[in-house]
Amino acid sequence: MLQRVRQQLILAQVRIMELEDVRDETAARLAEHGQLLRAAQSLADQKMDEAAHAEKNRAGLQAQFEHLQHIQQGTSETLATTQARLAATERALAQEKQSAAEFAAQVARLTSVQQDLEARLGEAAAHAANREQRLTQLDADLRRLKSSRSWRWTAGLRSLERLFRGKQP
Amino acid sequence: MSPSAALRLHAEIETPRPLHAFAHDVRVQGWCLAEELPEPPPVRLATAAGIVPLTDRTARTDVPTLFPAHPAAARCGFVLSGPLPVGVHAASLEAQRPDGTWQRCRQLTIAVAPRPFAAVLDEPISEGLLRDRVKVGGWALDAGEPIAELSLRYGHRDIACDVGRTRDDVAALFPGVPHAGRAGFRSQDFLVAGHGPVRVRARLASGRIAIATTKVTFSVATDENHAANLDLTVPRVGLADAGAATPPVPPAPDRAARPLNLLFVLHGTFASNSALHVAALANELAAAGHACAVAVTHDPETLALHDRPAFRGLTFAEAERGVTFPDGRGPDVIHTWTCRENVRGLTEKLRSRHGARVIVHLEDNEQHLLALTLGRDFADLDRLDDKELDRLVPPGLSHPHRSRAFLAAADGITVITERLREFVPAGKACLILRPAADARHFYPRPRPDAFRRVLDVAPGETVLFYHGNIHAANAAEVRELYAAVAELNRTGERVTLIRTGHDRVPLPEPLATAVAPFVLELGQIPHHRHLPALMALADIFVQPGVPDEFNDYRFPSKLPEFFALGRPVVLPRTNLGTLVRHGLDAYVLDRADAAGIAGAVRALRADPALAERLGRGAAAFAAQHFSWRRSAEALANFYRTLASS
Repeated sequence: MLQRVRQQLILAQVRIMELEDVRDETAARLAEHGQLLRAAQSLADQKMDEAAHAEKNRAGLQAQFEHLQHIQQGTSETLATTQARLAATERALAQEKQSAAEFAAQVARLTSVQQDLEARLGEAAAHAANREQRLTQLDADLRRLKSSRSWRWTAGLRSLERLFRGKQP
Repeated sequence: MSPSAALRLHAEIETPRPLHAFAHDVRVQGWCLAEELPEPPPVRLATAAGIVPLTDRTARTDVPTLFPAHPAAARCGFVLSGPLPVGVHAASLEAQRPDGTWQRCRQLTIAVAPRPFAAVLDEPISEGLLRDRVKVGGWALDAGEPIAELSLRYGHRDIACDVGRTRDDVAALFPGVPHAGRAGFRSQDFLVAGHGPVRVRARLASGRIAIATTKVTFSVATDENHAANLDLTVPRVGLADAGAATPPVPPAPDRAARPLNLLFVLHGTFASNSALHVAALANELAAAGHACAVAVTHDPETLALHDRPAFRGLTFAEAERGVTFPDGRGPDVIHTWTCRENVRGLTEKLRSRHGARVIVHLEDNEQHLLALTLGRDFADLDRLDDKELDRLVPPGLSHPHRSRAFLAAADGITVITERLREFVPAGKACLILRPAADARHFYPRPRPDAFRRVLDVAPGETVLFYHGNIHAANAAEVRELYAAVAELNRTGERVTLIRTGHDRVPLPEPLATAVAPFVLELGQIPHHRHLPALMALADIFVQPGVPDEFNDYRFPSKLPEFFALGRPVVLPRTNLGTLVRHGLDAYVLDRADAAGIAGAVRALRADPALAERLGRGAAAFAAQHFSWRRSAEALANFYRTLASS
């Protein structure tokens, strides 16, 4: 009997030690959980503050965005007008360029004609000069002929020729 | 200032985190002031589930130091209190503007728990000491669910009560709780002998257990089963001495420059003696930065028996699918405990899978164990062919041929004793890995004399302690210890043997009957860390045995624990017994058989100075020779040497 009591006493002590372990482990885990909850709550609070701050910033940025959007709208309109004007200018410029090209082509053509004419004029002048020279020569030859004794000796004959040629129908 | 303009608020919530309230009583404290207002603004805590209003103002002495010119600084403290539903709420601390609108100044979360279980004992008294054997009653209420069963606990007593009794007063106190009107209880019987503060323990309808303390202490001295001379009010005498000095926690080991992935392969479960060694080494190696895992044959839940393991536990079946460490790699080293068939098979599979270095640890004369288990001469067994041996050798023992080949193929061998080097192939790297005791629990402890008196241990009585299982290999020598105890008591020396562990081999008659009155069999103590408090009851530790083919090669794992407790150790001149100095470190016997043990115990009883000297010598020897830290450092160096070779 005494042995059984002693045995059970010791085993009860072992059980107590086991329960003390469980208690200590549980207490430690509870403390850990409390610490975790504390940290989680602090983090959540911090994140909520950050979110509120971010929301405030977002609202400010939204206002800035809307302002910029407004400015952008005006700028866009101005830009569109300018672009239209630019396009018209470009079109006019293109037309001017085309006209200039055509004018240049015409000038070139005229220049060519002029050069041709000048060449032909030169040729005509030369030809005329030749003729003039020939004419002068012929005139001289004529004068020499007319002044020759033969021409004079044959004047009667030529008068008769003209006479006869004039009576024919 | 226009009435709706935003206030410049300064506020702080000072209720400590976590903000954790009970549903009926949320209470938050802090301070708040607005720069524009001469008075502190009204504040509230707003949640989606409800508002916690301002219920009190408090004076502040600290805020004026922050805002010396502000007229409201000294009285801007607030208390918000009120109910909130159970749950975690996102809340806003809000201050009221002059136009009546509310402006948020802080956001926070608050956890609201259910109303705690409440119990009051009010019949016949509601507080104080009750000594009478009467029936008692009161009420107990959990707001969430009704109570199924209830009892009152005090001292070693648990008194059943009837529940569901009508209590109109409780219903009035808790109008929102439908079952509050039937919260009454009353004990079924009159109080019985017992002493202690009363706790109410209830099992709720869901099965949950709820406990509440009361303001009443029962102190009933006697009843029909307890004699009046049994004083139930004396303080408890504990086994463990809470005031005993514990050794200082050693500093953390140096971190390894190149941490390794280490896999230990055990031949049993985490409940085995070998697991104590592996766990201690793995914990130390993990503390040095190595990643450790331990594979066991079965029952992985036995890992819970170890104190704060710093390694991963897994089964052989899990390990066979591959072992991956936190860095995503496999093991660098597989340290397999013994060359027994079960660990050999797994180790060879893992070696080919992971290409790890393999180290085999030897802790027993495997040949002797095989021969003993099979009841045959080892030389005869060794001559058998593999096919026949495969049939004979169980998974938990070493195959004579395959274990030899396994050792030959290993990258290194660790041995627990010098003699085991005989089994190490020539030229193979080898380290003696000396076991130790867990220094967190095994250290010199004073003898708990008060508890020994409770156990009715006589002043001159000697207490021996032996922990460990009795199996085929050690049954004969443990019988010698029992025989010594019987002999000592027979010759008038009062000796008690405290035993723990399983007895797989029973004591023979008539010894069992003769020794029974002098042996306290405590069975298996699940947690090894609880043994030292029991061991402290002992005057002498005895390791029985004689030099032989079994003892010469092994190192009983209890020996470092015996030495660490600082008691005289009686042991045979084998294994550790060949290293200690008789008369200084321990009491060494050529043969620790019944006669030798009885003689040693008589000698130590007769010479208290010798016992005292051997107790101190044992502790000193333990401090000098047994250290898991040092063993783990040597092992880590061994791993490094092999890894770089």
